[in-house]
Amino acid sequence: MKKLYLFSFLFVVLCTALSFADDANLLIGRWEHSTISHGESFNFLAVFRINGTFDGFINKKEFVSGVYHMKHDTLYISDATCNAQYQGTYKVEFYGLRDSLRFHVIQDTCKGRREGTNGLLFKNVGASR
Amino acid sequence: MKKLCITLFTLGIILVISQGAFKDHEPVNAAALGRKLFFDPILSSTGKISCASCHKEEFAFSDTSAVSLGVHGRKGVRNTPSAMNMSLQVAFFWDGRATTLEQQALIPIQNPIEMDLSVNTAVWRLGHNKYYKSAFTAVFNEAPNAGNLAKALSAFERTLETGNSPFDDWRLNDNESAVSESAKRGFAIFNSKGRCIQCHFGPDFNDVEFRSIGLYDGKTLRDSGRACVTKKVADVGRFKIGALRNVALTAPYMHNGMFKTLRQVIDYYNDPDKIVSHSINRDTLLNIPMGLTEGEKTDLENFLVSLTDKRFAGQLKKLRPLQR
Repeated sequence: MKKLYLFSFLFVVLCTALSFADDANLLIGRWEHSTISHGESFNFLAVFRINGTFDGFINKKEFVSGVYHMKHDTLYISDATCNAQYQGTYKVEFYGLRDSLRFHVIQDTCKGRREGTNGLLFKNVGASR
Repeated sequence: MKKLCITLFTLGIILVISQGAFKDHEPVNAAALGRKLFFDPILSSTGKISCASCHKEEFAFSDTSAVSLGVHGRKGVRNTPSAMNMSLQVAFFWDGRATTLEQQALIPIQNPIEMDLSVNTAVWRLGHNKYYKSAFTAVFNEAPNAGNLAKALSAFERTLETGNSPFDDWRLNDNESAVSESAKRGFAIFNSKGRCIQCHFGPDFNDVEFRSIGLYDGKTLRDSGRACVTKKVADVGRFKIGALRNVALTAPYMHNGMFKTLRQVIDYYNDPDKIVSHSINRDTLLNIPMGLTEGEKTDLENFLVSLTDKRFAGQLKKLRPLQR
């Protein structure tokens, strides 16, 4: 009986650990989207950190920072430019071995963020802290 | 006789070599040609004022006086903004009267209180200058004209991007020691209590909109700003939102240069009514005082200083010797 309890306990711990592993935040890292507009090249870089903060850069210049969290494949994101109290939500579709991703807007009333995010393909360019 | 010939020959060789060394080489592209033009007073009626007379390189291509002096010491009416970080801008001048950098480039040349030279005369001068005639042909495959003059100047301005400040280092490289703890707190205030982010956002910390921060009262402050261009009452007192990169170097501040220091600017935003009591058409965002403590003001100022590109580190040290 004691063994059964012990086994059950270990089983629960293992399942819990696995369930956390399933929900690992795949977004953590550096993601880049490059484009050319009116002959000028633009490089968008998004850095999603382990501590739940993110920054966006255009041609290496910081242009937005805020907080985010992932729940399964859904991104909840907010920043002071769009209103820090409001969260935009996006479905994040990863490709290959997490070598690229695309954001699909679920709901976001912040036009600037929506236009700069929705449908864009970002490639993984490295890890972040 | 032989010695004299050898001496003369040697001197001749030295002369030819030295002339070659000091010869103004033709620029290889429009930006290099633009740089040469930017610093050359050939584009002013008196031949004494260049773009760089007011857009001083060491001050992030801005001026240190409230308003700049043009030809014959004529006083301008607005503060000279920095000519840096123009690539992503969509409106130029404090009132946004130009919508492209190319349009912008020719306006100060023609302005009677700035360089006071018609574009036709400028083009004629360049066409009759041996160096420029050859340089324009090399770069544009044609003689100087208004179009390629504007292209050259704007190409140079587009090279004046700065994105290597301690702040960028902190955010981009996660270098926590790049900025002080005070600057980090200042960034948080900028985004929250200070409400600065409502207007100053994006890669250069400005928006494409025009806002009235309350520096128009119709009495002592009479520059109606954007309304000069649009003729709309709603635009009275509105000005282009100033970019904040390198702002620690670009004092004095605001369209009229009325604030000499960043601290004065912060004090104004903290409680505008204390400084301009009967402003007209002021943005409602400024109706409620921020209520910043002195410590918070210092933090905010330190954050703004952290936006100074590292190329100006020496200049910043001269201006703020006590800052680390």
